[in-house]
Amino acid sequence: MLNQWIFDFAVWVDATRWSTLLHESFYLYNWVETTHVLSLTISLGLLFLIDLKMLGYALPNVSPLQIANRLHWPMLLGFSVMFITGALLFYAIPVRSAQSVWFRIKLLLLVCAALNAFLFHRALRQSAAGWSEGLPTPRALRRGAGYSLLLWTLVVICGRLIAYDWFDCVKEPHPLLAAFAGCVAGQEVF
Amino acid sequence: MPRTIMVLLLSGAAGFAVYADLHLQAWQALLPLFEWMETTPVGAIGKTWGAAFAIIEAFHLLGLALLGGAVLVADGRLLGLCFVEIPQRWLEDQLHRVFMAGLWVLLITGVFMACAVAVKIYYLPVYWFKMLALAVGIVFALAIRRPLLQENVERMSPWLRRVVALASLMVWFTVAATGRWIGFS
Amino acid sequence: MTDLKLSAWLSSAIIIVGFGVYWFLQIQSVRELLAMAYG
Repeated sequence: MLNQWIFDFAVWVDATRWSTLLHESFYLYNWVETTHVLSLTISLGLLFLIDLKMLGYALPNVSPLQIANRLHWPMLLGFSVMFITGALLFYAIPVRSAQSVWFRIKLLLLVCAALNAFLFHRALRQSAAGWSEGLPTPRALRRGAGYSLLLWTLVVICGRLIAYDWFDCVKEPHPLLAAFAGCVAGQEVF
Repeated sequence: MPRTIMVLLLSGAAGFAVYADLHLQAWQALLPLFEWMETTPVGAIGKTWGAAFAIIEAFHLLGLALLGGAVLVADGRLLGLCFVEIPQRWLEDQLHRVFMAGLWVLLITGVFMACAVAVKIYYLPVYWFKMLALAVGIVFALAIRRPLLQENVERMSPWLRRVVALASLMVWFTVAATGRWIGFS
Repeated sequence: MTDLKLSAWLSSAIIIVGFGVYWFLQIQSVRELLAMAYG
């Protein structure tokens, strides 16, 4: 049922004028995709600096709170750009994206990553009070940083795999995969 | 003035090589190497399993994230845009380590991917522009920028800092953008 | 000026000019292509 709703929504988006224009544009789609990929240097680049610092691999002896605070806004700017360009990419090719197993896994991972970030932030604020620079990072923060690295690595891998059509609905995949991908029986739009 | 002479010599040689079409001869001489690359086990793996190629490419992007993040923060610091309260030299040293880690990931994954599609990229001009930009980037970062910033940066002319930061950003942006461009070809 | 600073000035200038020209030409060709495609 949920899959049917998603499919219907995607078909509706696909029929909009701008969706088609974006998909068939000479350069705009490529430019949006390029921006999406390259802006991970900002969002993930800065995030990885923070994660590596928490894990003790980079930037030792500096207050973690200072690093996190300074990088916070540029990082959020990078993530905003990724989110907007990502939404545009979906908007251009909604049906295939919505029914891509890799896209669905990527979204689930993004939710987990967001949750992890929220918990990490909370732990950072809480522990910052009793923290001096020489002490090792609290375990909760190290775990959060580790999860962050893992989750975002998987996000990038899934993002890259979206382009491959091994499990696309149009290829009538295994029923379990078809169910996870949300393939609708008898669909004519892909 | 060894470094200055090297910069002049390299630039002059490069300019002359292009003028005399020597770069085309070098390119022709490289064809056997690229044909061989596709026959290696590494090339075979990348060609046979699209999933392997895609995952390696994902790690290529993660390496880019590391390198890009380090470059952005380092050049941002140079321009006085961030972390001004942290001593320049120390931050530079720290970011250099992240930069090198990212660079190694990029190089290793890049060679793997190149082997899989060697002959195809051999005939793509944008690939060669990327390699040129990459070479310039590595030499500039290791032989010019890093030694320069080991000295007393605070007394450096602000304009010198700006051009060095700008050059660094331009080079690595070009490497990333031409890299993406290859993906569209 | 030290060798290091002079070489930094020189190489930075060459990079900025060289890569600047490259990107200018790329953007030009894209604009021409778009003009041809969309009129």
